[in-house]
Amino acid sequence: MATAALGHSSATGRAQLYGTVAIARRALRDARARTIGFAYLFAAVAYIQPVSYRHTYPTVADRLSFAHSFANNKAVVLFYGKAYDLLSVGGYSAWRVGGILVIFAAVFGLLAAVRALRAEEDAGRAELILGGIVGRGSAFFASMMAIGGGALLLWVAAFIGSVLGGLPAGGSAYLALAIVSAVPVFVGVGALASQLAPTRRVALELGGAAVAVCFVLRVIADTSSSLGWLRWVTPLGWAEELRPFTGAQPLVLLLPAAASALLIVSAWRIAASRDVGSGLLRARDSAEPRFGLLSSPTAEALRSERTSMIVWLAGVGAFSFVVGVISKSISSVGISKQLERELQKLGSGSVLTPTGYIGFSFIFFVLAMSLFAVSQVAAARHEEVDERLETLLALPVARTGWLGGRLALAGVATAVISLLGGLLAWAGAVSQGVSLSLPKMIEAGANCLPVAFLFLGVAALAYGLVPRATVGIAYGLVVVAFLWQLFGSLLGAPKWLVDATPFAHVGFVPAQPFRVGAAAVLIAIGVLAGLVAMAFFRRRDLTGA
Amino acid sequence: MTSAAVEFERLTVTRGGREVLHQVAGSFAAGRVTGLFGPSGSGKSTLIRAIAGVQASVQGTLRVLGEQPGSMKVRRALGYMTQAPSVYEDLTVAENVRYFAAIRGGELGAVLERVQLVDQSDQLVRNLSGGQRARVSLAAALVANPRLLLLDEPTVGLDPLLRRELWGLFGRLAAEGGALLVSSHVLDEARHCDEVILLREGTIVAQLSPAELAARTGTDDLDEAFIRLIEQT
Repeated sequence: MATAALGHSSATGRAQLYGTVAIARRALRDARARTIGFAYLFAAVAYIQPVSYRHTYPTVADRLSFAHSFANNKAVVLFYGKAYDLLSVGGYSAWRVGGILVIFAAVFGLLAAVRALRAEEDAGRAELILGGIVGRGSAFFASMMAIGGGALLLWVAAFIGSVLGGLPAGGSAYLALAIVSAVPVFVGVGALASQLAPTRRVALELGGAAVAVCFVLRVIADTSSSLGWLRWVTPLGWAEELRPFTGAQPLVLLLPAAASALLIVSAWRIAASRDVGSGLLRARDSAEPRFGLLSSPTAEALRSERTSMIVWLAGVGAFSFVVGVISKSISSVGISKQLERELQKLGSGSVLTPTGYIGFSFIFFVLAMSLFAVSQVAAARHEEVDERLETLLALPVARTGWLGGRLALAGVATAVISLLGGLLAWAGAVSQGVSLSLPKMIEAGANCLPVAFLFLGVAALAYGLVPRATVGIAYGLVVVAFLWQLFGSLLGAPKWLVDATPFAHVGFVPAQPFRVGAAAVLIAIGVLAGLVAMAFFRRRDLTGA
Repeated sequence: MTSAAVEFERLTVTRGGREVLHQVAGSFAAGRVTGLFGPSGSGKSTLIRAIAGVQASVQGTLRVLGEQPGSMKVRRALGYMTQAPSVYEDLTVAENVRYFAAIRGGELGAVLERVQLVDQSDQLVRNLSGGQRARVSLAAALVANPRLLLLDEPTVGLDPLLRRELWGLFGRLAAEGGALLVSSHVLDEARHCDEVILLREGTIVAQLSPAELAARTGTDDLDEAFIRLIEQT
């Protein structure tokens, strides 16, 4: 009897193990495009920074002058974090590579966790798997293993990139570790959000808010003289405190390790006890009927997108206000003409005056608004995947009207958010006594629109031509074009190739004039792409996921 | 007999690079329930999509209410229910139905009574059962009294009592003068239809009344009848 029972349980155990491995492999495969994309980015950034630093500041004198004037420039600290040593290639790389890649590592962890834990459940596939022999604990463990595999790949990519960039292997390994240390923490955040939220989208919004809060905490800690201790409460700050190449403090690794363990174990415990398909935050069961914004498909699109639009509005608004406030502390005192020219090579050229700094920062708002515009086309595609579009288009709803309405809504929302960003940056700057004209800042807000409209049109074109690939193509183009703007010239690409990205044609308003001609061309391309998109969309078949 | 509400000839439809319907011909009239039967993958949904005017790459002749499919006049008279419930999960039952009424420019009417969802009218669709969602989808198709109803597997996943009531509802809608095309892969449900179109691998095997089907195959068991019919052809 005992032997039989034992034999049975070991057979079950083996089947469970196979099941767990199968889930892990499936999850790895599912995430491969995103993982490989992030790995390329990590390797490229880790390679470019040490190389360009050595090239730009060959002598100790260059580096000294750079360190004195630039490192304490709050504008730069805002995006790249605190610098501990700018006289060595390693110290500079730790600052420029680590400071920015750790944010991407956080986003990677969040996306991976929500994708593996929540999206599967929303699609109903999790029920299918859990109905089989694999228990919840094993399924959770398998997903974590798959994400761990992805994180390992990112570590390898950052390591190889910085070794190829000429940094010593030991230090590179530690720098890569500092960057990747954010992954498990935000996997924990994503896993917990997946248990709390009733749907994937809400889980991503919760997790995204957590990343934003951690980023803002690091900004405050790095830019303020008295609140430096705040660095210890954000995982992005822990990565700085690990201090690669600048007096390593490996004991700090205990913090992300403990935080990840705590978050992941809590998520696991909730996952083991809650009902599949629901979240701890109970979704409302019923609601008083509100019949507003149900009069047409475009009105309904506004109704269903309004939460997301408000989140973007609040995020862009808050950040542009902070940019306005910080601009006060920017000055070019003590910077030589020689260094200023060098800074321009780094792509951060005109950071040295309040208006220059605001103009530079608004390039990031151009990116944000492009991503927002693209997200609206992704929402339209979602309507098609859910087959609701098929029902609508059988009714008196014209295809061109439906798509046109959604694009127009996206355009108007992009414009409102951008202009408000300009207004709030002005308010922030003026509150600190910076003299800045309001019309000029409205212009800075409007300066986000030509590129955003271009990408809106291009995303629509992808939607009209290759609906299944819409989301990947549209977001991918925005990100690649933006990175090309940052790194293209550093890689030594010829000017015409660097100019291929729309971001190269944006002036640093308010420091530079608004480029009317370039804006007209960008918008014209966007509108043309939108019109062609509608022509294709009229003829094509509707397709599911 | 009334004139045909929908008629098609030499209808060939290509979907995703594959020819799904091959030169099919047929018609159905208003005032009766026409069933569209066949195994999964036989082309039922594609035929319904073509009639609804949402299908690209349609060759041959297809007249819907005397017009081109997809013309605005047809769309205003059309009620369409897709196979997967295609309603908004974040809206309540009443909000969903109101939305589709607004698109058609019609009134809400007593459609929630017809699908027995009055008690759930303020519930979010997200929290409904599969059968209830299917009925919300049906309500969205019935709102504003369409003259032509295309229902793709409306009874799938519903309990026997509700299925019978829905087929009763379809009969009443037909008696009021509507033209109904209702698909199903449960051949037993053919007994509720005035006429059935049998599809197999993209071709129409037969179009006849359930009584004719029984007579031609010598059995009352409709599953068995379908198998015999295929063996005959």
